[in-house]
Amino acid sequence: MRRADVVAAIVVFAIVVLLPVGIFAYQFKEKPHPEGVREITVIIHTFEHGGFQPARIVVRKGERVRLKLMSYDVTHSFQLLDYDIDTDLIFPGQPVVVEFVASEEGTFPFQCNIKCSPSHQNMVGQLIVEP
Amino acid sequence: MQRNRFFFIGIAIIVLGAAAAGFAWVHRPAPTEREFEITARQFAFDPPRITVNLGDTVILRVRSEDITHGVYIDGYGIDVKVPPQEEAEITFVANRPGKIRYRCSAICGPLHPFMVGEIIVRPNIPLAGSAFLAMVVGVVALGYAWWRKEA
Amino acid sequence: MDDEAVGAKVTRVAETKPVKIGWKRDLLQLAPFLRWLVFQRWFQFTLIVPNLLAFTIVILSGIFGIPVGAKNFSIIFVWIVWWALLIVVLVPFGARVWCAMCPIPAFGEWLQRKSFVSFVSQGLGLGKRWPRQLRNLWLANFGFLTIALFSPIVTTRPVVTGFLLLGLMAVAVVMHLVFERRAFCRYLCPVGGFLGLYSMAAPVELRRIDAEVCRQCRFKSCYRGSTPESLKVGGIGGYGCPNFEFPGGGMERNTYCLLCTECVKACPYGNITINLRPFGTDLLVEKGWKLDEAFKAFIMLGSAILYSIIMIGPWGTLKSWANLGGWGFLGYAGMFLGSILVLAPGLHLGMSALVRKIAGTRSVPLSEVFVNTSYALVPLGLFGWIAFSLAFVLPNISYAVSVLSDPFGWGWDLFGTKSYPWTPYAPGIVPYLQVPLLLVGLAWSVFVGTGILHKTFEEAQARKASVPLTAYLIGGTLVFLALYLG
Ligand SMILES: [Cu+2]
Ligand SMILES: [Cu+2]
Repeated sequence: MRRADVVAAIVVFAIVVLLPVGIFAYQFKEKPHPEGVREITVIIHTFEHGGFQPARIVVRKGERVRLKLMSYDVTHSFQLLDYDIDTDLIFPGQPVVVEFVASEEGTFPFQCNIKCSPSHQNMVGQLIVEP
Repeated sequence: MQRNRFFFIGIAIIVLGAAAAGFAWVHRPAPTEREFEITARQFAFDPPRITVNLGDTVILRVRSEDITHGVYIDGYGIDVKVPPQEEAEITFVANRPGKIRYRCSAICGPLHPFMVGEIIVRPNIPLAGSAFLAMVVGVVALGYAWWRKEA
Repeated sequence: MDDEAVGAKVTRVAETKPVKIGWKRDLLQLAPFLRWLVFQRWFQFTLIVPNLLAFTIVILSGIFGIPVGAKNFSIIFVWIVWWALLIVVLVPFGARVWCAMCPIPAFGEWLQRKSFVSFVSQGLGLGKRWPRQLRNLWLANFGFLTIALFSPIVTTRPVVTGFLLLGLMAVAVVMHLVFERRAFCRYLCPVGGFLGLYSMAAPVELRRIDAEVCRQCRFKSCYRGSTPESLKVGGIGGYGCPNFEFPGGGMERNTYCLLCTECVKACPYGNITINLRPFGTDLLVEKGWKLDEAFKAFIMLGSAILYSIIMIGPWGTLKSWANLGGWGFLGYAGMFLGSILVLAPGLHLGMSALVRKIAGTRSVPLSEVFVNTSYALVPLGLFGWIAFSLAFVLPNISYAVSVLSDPFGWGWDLFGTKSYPWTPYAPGIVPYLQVPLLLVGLAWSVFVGTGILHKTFEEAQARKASVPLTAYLIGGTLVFLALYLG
């Protein structure tokens, strides 16, 4: 009957070791993306809990940028007016993806345009387009 | 003998209850239009409970005091988002008696699933009916238990 | 346990007559496949595996996933899916079968036995005996109350849920290595206590078949575990009851039976089986009536009512207080603990005094009336919990569909259901499901209550006493109805 224990041990090992490793590997592996597209995930909390992360997004001029905007608490939105970006509401669990070409050099502010907490007006970040 | 008396009292209670219900039904107020200002905030609606009459046209003007919320009315298929600084207006006819629960439909923080408000549509027939039924069920169950112990 | 202790237990049991109520059918005879399954050493392991898998994902998503409860596997699958399954299906129909498949004590037990599947006589750990003063439900009651008090936090924050379950698992491992058997499950687990209470209502039971066989048996393998000698006579090799029960010694209630089926495998005579039986049989077994279980009944009924006010009621201030809202939390805690530990037992005491007065006897002590009649609250409490659970499960279980595709809220879409919208099921109909449930609970409680009174008082006294008890139970039902419909 010891064979059953060996099988059981393998099953348990697969569940508590291989599964977590697999999950993290799947999530954090290098994702192949089309030539020239910069994919950046922006996690959004209310200002009290960290605001935009990263709040400073640095890209190269001419790059095609794809921002995956994910709310981690309540409803937010994302405005980058210099690039004509103004999303609808971003609900938690429903990432919103915006894409643009960083054609202009400089520093551009972005913000959340929906009141999401008492210090909502502080929810700002910067897009820096380097030459 | 005692069983007969119980039976008589039971019948009397049912007749009286039916008469009271019938009276309330006949004299129920005529439907009108009712407007309510409702403030939504984490994690409640204010006022928590409003009361209308059966057949009333209910207008809810909902404003959020903090962040984006929503109003989903159970059983009426209404779902409106309420962003801050905007007023959502909801109109419906309260065509079923009893308690209507409405709940927030935009995830607004940890206790969001428990952000509910109540509209009581009078006459609250389900409450009165089920309370009456509970008493009947309790008494019948007791009678049955006694009868079975005897048998 | 030494021979002497087993002997003492056997004598005590021999003095009481077994309780026979209604019909019983041997489930293992009716379902040969189930019988075959139960006699496989890997039976319990395969029950645990799927739950261990879910549990692992719960811990990972709780700690590393999105902090939004509604979009996190841990909150949705523990507090909505698992809870609904537990209270609506597993407990009312399967007694403590959850305890047989629970992943929380699994590692502890595997370590303690030094085996996943097979029966090995030499284990690991200190095997200390659990302190005598703690051999009751008070610690479990305390644990449940603590978690229940913080449940508005626990059930809405993935991180808290993740660490709570991980912590329970760690405590269970330590307990298994220090103490003998599943002391954690019997004396500490906050869930086990109420599962035990409500499992008495279930229509299944694990029992010995022929009492005479057990009386003649000199192995007592169901308690001590298989030995080479007992295996020569029969049995496929099984551990002694992990939960300190002695099925062959006349275990008459489900309360502490985990349905792990070790005793079925250990018994050299094949004298232990699983029966189908009428619902609620154990509630009338006098010899189990104790104060710690009585308090469990108040805690459960009380918390069902309190949650109906706090969690699904419309009052925001209460919710903010319960949500660790500054000093208000103290107010909430006072209200919560006060209602459960003072108000509910106080009311019950008043009712017991009235029952005793109307029965017109002084020969039965008030404390006995108090404890005995508390078991009449079990069916109403169980159905109250089912009714309350429907009110948050049906509106929110649709999250499970989207969370299944994206368990961590990282934007995955494993099964293509990630964008399934929040859809309350049966909206507006929930109260009409709750009413019949509560009425069934009430009728059943009245039956059990009258049965209990007949065992407590003499015939004529019991009949009189059942009137105030019924009124009390109707009153409890009206409270639920007022909360759900008024
Ligand atoms: Cu924001
Ligand atoms: Cu809300």
